[in-house]
Amino acid sequence: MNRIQKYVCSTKLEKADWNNTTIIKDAVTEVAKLKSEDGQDLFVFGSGELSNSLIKAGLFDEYRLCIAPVILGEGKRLFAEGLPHTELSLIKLDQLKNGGVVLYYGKEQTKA
Amino acid sequence: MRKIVVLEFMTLDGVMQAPGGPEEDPAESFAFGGWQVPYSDPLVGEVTKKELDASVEYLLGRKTFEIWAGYWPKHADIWPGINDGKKYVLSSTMKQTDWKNTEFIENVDDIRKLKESDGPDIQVWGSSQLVHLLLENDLVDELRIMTYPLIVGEGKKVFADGAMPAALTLTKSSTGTSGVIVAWYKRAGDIKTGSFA
Repeated sequence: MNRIQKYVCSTKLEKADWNNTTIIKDAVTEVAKLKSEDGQDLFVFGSGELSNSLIKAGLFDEYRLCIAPVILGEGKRLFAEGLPHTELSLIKLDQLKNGGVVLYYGKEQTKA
Repeated sequence: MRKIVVLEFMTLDGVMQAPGGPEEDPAESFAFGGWQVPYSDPLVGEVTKKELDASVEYLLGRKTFEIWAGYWPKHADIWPGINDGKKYVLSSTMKQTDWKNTEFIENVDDIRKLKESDGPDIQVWGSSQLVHLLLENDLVDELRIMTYPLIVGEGKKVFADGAMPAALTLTKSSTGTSGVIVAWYKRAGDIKTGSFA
């Protein structure tokens, strides 16, 4: 994690001391540009607000979601109100011994 | 003590409104009524049939009850159980109906009494406000959630803020050919927390 390239989306952050970190101000535009370039796949961890911006812009290719078997009744949510209607395709489900499930979704295949 | 079992058709972003058609619940100009329909799936058929055939009683919110009262008496061949079975409806305003075997209850104490009385287990379908009330009061014993592979971005949700924090056990999960996931959960004590730091 220290070695690999990290992009941080922020309108406020001026500099980051963690090595191999690049600050991006306009997430949607810059992530779209990064996606179009050659290079390795990009992973987003956590990052609720960023994820909602990227979902809105249709920039995610895959989702890997781990659902813990708890109800909290409060807290930040992954999927906000106002996201566009998005159809996905389930790639696979892993049921974990501890009651978690890991869901792998891809973009819906274009229907012929 | 009877078990209260909540059954929901849900989108990945937690929405349960109007799965079977736009006319079911157009509240708040919900634009995606019928989102469940394109995903025909033998697994959902099998799971649903088993639940519909179970010897249970039903607890419904007033809105879900009204939707059902306009539909199921005319479709008794598909689900005779819902017509013949006992239905408890939570409503502060509605007191009577033509649908047979229906009893109106008014508050969470009535639900507690019902749960403590002798009788078969109780299924709850749809009924988002009722489900929120049950989760706030820790009255749900099992959840059976059918999660569809789509995000709709609006609509009534199964889980709201204010639910009693609760740990669950995943007793089973299955994947249907259409990408629907069925997960069976049981209530399992308090939440335990820790830190990876």
